[in-house]
Amino acid sequence: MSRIDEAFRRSDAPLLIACTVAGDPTPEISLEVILSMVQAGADMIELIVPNTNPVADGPVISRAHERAIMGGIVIEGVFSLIRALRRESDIPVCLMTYANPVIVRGEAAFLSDAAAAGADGILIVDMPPEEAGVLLSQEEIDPIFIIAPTTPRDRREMLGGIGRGFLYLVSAPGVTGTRQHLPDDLPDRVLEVKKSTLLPVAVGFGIGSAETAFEAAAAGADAVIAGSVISGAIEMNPDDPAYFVGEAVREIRSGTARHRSSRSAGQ
Amino acid sequence: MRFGEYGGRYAPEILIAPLRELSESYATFREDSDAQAELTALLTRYAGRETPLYSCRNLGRETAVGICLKREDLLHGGAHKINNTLGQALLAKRSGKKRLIAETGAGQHGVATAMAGAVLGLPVEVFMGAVDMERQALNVARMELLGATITPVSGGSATLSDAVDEALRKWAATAETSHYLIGSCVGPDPFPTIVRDFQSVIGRELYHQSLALEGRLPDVAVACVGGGSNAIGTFFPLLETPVRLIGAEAGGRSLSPGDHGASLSCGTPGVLHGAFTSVLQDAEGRISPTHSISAGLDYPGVGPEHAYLRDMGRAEYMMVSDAEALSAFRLLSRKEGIIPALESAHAVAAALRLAEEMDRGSMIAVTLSGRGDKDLGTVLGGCS
Repeated sequence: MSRIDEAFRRSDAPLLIACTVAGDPTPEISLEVILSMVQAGADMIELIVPNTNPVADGPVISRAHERAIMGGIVIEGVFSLIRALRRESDIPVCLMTYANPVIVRGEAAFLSDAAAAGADGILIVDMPPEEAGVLLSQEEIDPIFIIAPTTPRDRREMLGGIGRGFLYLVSAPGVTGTRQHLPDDLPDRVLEVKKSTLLPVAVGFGIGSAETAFEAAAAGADAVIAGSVISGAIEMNPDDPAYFVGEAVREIRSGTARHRSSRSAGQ
Repeated sequence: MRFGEYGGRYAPEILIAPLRELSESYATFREDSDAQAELTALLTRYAGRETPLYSCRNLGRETAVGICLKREDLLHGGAHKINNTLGQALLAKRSGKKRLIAETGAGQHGVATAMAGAVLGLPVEVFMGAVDMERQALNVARMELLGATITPVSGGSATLSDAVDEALRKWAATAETSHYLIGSCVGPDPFPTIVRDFQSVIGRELYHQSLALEGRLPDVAVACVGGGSNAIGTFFPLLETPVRLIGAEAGGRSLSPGDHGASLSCGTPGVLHGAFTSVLQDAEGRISPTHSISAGLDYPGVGPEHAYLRDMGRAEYMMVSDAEALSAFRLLSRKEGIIPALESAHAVAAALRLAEEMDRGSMIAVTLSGRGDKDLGTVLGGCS
């Protein structure tokens, strides 16, 4: 059983998946940020590979991509970060990347190198399954796929069948970024996706507060994904981001915990 | 749809359903004779087709090689861009979309989209790099006058590539009601095919006109290549003929990375803006900065079909420096009374270089993709 499967199996509450752009703002501080996310109670780390054209990301994470590139990280450095984390923790790690760095390194080589470094899953944002022959034909690392608000039912079922680890449900149309509230139809959409797959369903895009984390958990998410709020904490606190990132993770954590306690109170 | 190994649909999941819908509505549009008739009427009576094929009286005389200009610069708006924007805007309208989103670099595509939106009654939002807005203030004013909303993009280098990123983001949020009117034969499938088809009117006319007026096909057809839409529109209808096809890329100020925009001559295979193509990038897959004196060629990728034609050996691509383009810009103005866009001046420069090696009596057709009024600031500013 993979570390991702194990984490979902072990927990009776929604997992918290904390994302950061690898190398933001520098490779050294990025490792501190990641360790701080682990200590603050993240259940899984999503590590984003810096990219020059992050078309699926909103302004906050786009600036994190720019900072990481300025900070000098290269792909090998992303793998080094995972290896460094692995020396400290068995937490599941999912890589999130755009297709081009994978294709330029060679798809098979990139996936093997990521798995060897200790990554458990990989989400290639702009590589739909139709373009993902190499990804789908290997066993070393779990392919994670996104379900978008525009994804029709037959495609949802296809993605739910070929993905491994979990499905990433995008809460609302558009790009990454925090929102005041998640859409009202989220519970219905989570339910629809769960009918299409045996995989756990993680909800991302728009979760940056205890309130939105609670909403996602209450909507039936098996995990909530927080990204922009973490990149935002790094941006606002360039001198000591690790502490503030830890605070942000604890804040989100309190939202999923509130869901758990309200649920047990109701029983 | 792939062009050999190039092309594909490297898009985030949120865009997959809209791209499929677009493929379907385009397939319907192609077969719909009403739609095609409406497009033809717009192209002739609104945009000013067909454009002349003009045989230069003076240019090329020294080499005794005939140079003909396909005068896309005479179209409404001053560039070939309107062929594509009228086509896509009509497609959008007929498939029930309520608004148009576009990116623009120099502003030519933004202006052409604003015109198409105005005439077809569709609101237009144009994304434009903040740096480009400053460089192309006149086009910003034109777009506003035509009723478009301009959204400045300040991320990255605040130029065309960043504007494409932002337009894609906006489309991801609004795809149900809006059409992304991409400005060149780039992007995820089906965009490269759609843009090529709408621009192919250039090559079709060129073919018939050169037979009718010159009694022969040209030996060589030359067009400039940024994203490559006027070039693919010129080349595609000539693929099955013996005409040699030449694309002129931005050689910029030097061949160092960051100093040019020659994606086909200097690029490596990679994915940019949804397609697998030839890309200017580093060994890590990070997109390189680019430079060209002409904003329209200042782009790190290129339409995937050009990468395919290059690999097949069916088209050849050569680099033209900023200085060569500037000198061709002045020469054409003086000799023929035609001020070309700096983009098109790259094609003219390439033709002049080719003419030196060609036999007397040969014929070169150059697609003059746009007029140069927009570039006077750049050219005159560069002199002072």
